[in-house]
This record gives sequence, structure tokens and C-alpha cells, in this order.
Amino acid sequence: MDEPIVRPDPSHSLPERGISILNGMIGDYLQQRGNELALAMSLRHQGRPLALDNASLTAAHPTATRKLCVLVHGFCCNESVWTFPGGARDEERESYGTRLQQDAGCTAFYVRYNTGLPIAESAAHLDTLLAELVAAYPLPIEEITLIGHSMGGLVIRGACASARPESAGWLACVRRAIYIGTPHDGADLERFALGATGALKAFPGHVTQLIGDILNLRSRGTKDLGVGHARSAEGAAPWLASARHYLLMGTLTKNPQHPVGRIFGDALVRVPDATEAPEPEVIVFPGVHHLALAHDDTVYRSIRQICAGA
Amino acid sequence: MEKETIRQLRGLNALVADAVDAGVTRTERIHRSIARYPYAALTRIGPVAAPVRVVEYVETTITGTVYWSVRLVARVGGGVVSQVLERLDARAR
Repeated sequence: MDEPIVRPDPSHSLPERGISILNGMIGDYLQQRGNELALAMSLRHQGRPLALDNASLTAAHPTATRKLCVLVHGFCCNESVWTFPGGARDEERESYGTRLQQDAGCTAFYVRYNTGLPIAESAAHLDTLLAELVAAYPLPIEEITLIGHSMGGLVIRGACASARPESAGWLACVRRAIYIGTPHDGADLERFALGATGALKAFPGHVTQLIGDILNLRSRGTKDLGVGHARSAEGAAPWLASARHYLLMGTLTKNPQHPVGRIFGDALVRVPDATEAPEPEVIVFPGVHHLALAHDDTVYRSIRQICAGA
Repeated sequence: MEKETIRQLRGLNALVADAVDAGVTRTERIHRSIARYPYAALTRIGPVAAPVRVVEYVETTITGTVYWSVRLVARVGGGVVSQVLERLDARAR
């Protein structure tokens, strides 16, 4: 009998990463133009779309468990951001998902989406996707852990807050949400870009106007990062009351109290000021920068500990 | 070639066409608005006003034709690439 053809995971390839970056920068425009580079939100298995039916889910996860974890990547990324460095071949590659599968018996699902769309729109798509996943899953689900990196955390928070009544199935299963380097209070870099655009456009010169216009081409998703939550009349999305929430934040400096660490945080997101509220619990990882937060051993150990808890 | 790759190339082709069109239109607008200043100044000088208007007309027509040609070449090129991708797509089915 012939050996099945094993196709390499394309999510690490330059074109796939390039498309994800493009979607982050101008994804709303691509969608509006009906451009085929616009990504539709989907679950991915080994870099390829995973159909949400019982047969496909069983084939992708023959040892599926009742515990699920869903990983949502951040701005301009795809699911390859979760992969630990090292391991040239697909089967050698590890991520938080594969490790949680081994260590905590969680069946991991990776989401890929157009990060240029407004966060509220991505949140609505995630709500639909999770409802479909729960409906098609071959086993009764005991618990769901949501893990979001950067913008992915905002999408998770928005999905939990704006879930439709028919989404009660997945929402009731969510035990914990882990937000890794998520700018719940907004990202300073986007605020800077907003200010720079305004300043450039205020000058009457053609060149400054042009640069301002180019800067203003950035997607709605990017602009939403400046606010930090799904824009709505109600303001910030509330935390899902039935789940535990954890903020895993990094700092550039080994000492989180160092002025550089306090001002720049993990290079893109600052550690939020301490609050007296028990939720969300904030865990800081000194010396871990923004992107590294998605594939770091110490961060994983924390996630593992969180998942082992109630 | 995989169907997914063909789909991505079609998207890239459309995006390049959009970018060229928007870029050329914007460049043309800026070019015209900047070129207007010296002509406006020279037409205030009575004796040279008439020939300056002729020069401005000729220059505007030539540059307009160049910008139009760039758009045309980009559209024709994009159309050819699109046709090739359609054929590859049909073969991949």
C-alpha cells in the first residue's frame, strides 16, 4: 500500500505569513474589495482549514478529549506564532497547543483570521466559529480554555461579551480565558500613529498630506488597537462572569519596575496598573518581549499551571 | 500549482492593479497641483502669459497621456495575468 502523502504545514511559509501581515495592514480593504487574499476566520489544522463537521474533526484529532483549548493569534500573525523556536520538521514543532495536549489532555484548536477587520467583527466571527465547533465536536465538552495573544485576547473578550443567545453552548463551557500581551487599555503605538496622522494632515503641504493619507490607510483592526476593546456604545467589553481571567504580560527589562519596562512594557503593550479587583489576575514575565510571549517556556509553565487549576 | 496558490496569486494580481491605479492617480494629482504654481506665476507676466498657457496645455496633455498609458499597461498586464491564472485554475480542477 502506498504511504499517504504528508504535505508540509504551510503556515510557516513566507507567502502565508506575508498574507497575514497584509491582512493586518489592509484586511478591511481587501474584504471590502472582495480580494481573494482576504482571510476568512477558520480553524486550522497543520496549517490548512479544518472543516467543522464530525468526520473532519475526528480525522484531525483521533484522540480528542472533552477539554478544549482554542488559541487565537494576534495582529498581523497567523497560528505559526504559537510555535516554539527550533524543530525544522512539522512533527518536531511544538506550541502551547501541542504541549497542553500532552500535559493537560486538552485538544487544541488554532484560529486564523483577518486581523485588519474591526475587533468587534472578528469577535462576532469567533462566536459563530465556536458555536459551530461545539455543535460538530464528536464528544460532549467538559471545558474550554480560550488563549489569545495580543489582539487575539481582545477578540476573545469581545466574543464572550457579545455572544448571541444561540452561543450559550460554548459560552457555558468556558472555564478560563488567558490573555497574553493583550492591550486591554489600548496600545500606545497605535495612539502615536493616530496622533502622527492628525499632525501630518494638519499641515497644508502635499507631501505631508500624502504621508498622512498613507499612514491613515491602516486597517480598522489596527485603529481598534488604540482603544483596546471592541468599540461599542457600552465601552469596554465586560469580563465573562462565569470564567476566570488571566493577563500574562511581558516586559523588555529583567526588572519589571525598571523605567524602560514600565514605559515600554513588552515593546508594544504596557503592564496594566495594579487594581484591587481579584480579576483579572496579572502575571508578569520580565525580559519576555511581545512576540516571544506566544512561544516562551516560562509563559507556558504558567499556562499549564492555570489549566491545572479549577 | 495548488488551487490555494492560484487563488492567492489572483488576489495579489488584483491588489497590484488597485495599488498601481491608486498610486498613479494620486501621483498625477500631486504632480498637477505642484506644476500649477510656476505656470500661475508666469501667466501674471503679461508678455509671456499666452505662450506659457500653450506650454502648460502641452505639458498637461503629455503628462496626462503618460499617466493614462501607465494605467493602461497595468490593466492590460493585470488582465493577461488574470487570464493565465484562470487557465491554470481550470487545469487544476
